[in-house]
Amino acid sequence: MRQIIFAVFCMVALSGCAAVRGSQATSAALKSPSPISIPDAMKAYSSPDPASRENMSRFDYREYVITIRMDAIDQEYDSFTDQLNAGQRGAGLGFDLLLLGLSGATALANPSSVEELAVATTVATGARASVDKHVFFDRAVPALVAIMDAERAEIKTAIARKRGLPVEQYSLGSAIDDLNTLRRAGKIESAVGRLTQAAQAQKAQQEALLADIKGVCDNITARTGALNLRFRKLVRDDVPAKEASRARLAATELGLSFADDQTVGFADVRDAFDDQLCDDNKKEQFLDSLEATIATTEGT
Amino acid sequence: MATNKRKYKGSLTLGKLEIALEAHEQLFGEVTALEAIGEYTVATYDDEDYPAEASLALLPMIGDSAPPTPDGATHLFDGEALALGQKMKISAFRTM
Repeated sequence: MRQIIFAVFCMVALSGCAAVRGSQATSAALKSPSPISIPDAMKAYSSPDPASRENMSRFDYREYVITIRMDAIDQEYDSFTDQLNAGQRGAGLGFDLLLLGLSGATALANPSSVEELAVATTVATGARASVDKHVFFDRAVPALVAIMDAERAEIKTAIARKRGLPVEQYSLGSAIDDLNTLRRAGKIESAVGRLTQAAQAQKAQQEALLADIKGVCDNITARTGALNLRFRKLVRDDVPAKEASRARLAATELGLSFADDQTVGFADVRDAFDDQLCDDNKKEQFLDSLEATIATTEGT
Repeated sequence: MATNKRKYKGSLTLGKLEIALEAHEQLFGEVTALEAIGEYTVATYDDEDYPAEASLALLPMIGDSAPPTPDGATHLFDGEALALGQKMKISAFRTM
């Protein structure tokens, strides 16, 4: 079911559904202070005539375009996040899709970093008919904005580093690609995507961790503890000097084999005792049999 | 001294989990940590000491604070467990 929810989310998200606009305005709609469109900027940048660039060098012109475009993207992003934080649906947030996406993401794992988000999603999905969307906005949106902020900060740092490069190494075209990446990082859908990736990674990590840890029998009772104690006393505690020989006898009864020169102890047989004998009656029968074998072997 | 880990289904009640942990303390030694990982509660045991039979008590924490220590008990540690599928913070006590 989780996979289906997640797959549906992915399909809808990737389809570019027009009803979902969980992001700042598109590049074309940016309220840039620049009167220069991207095509015009590229044309001027490529021109051999500096006059087409208001007599700026290509380096200076690239910096000029980057500065005004980045400023426009930042302004739109700030406006978008302000709207989100204020809980305004006018922000264009596709609430239903976002909820669906978050359900997929949080169902995959429950990492502490997204715990608040998981709670908010659970609250929202659990009371679908009467959900107070403000609960969702109050608790989930800050987490998504934080993810978008972090991604934007990474991209802006990379752009800042490249701005010192000459135009031969960092052209205006490359800079515009980076700016488009910066704009896309302000989309809430991509924040959900990152969250999903993080949840998947965390789940994989948890599964790897759990794969190395043994499970236990289903029917553990208060009597199981008493039987475990009886086994430990019989092999280890009652006659400490005979732990090795008794552990070997237990190992034989459990079908374990050890090299003749290997020292065997209680710790070497307790796992098999626990794993193989899930039923209390079988444990008891085993212990009765082991006691008889020990008595015979030790001549008591 | 050897540590040993076992995972318990998160669908157990807190009481059933406590019984299972007590049973395994007799084989693997004292439980020293509880973590909620995925859909399991993972217990860590240390066989340096074997506690008395049926002497473990698990109580849900109150927020981030351990509940009052029951009379005659000793607080062992705080951790996390899954009970009936719900992750919760718990405190472990030794009752005798």
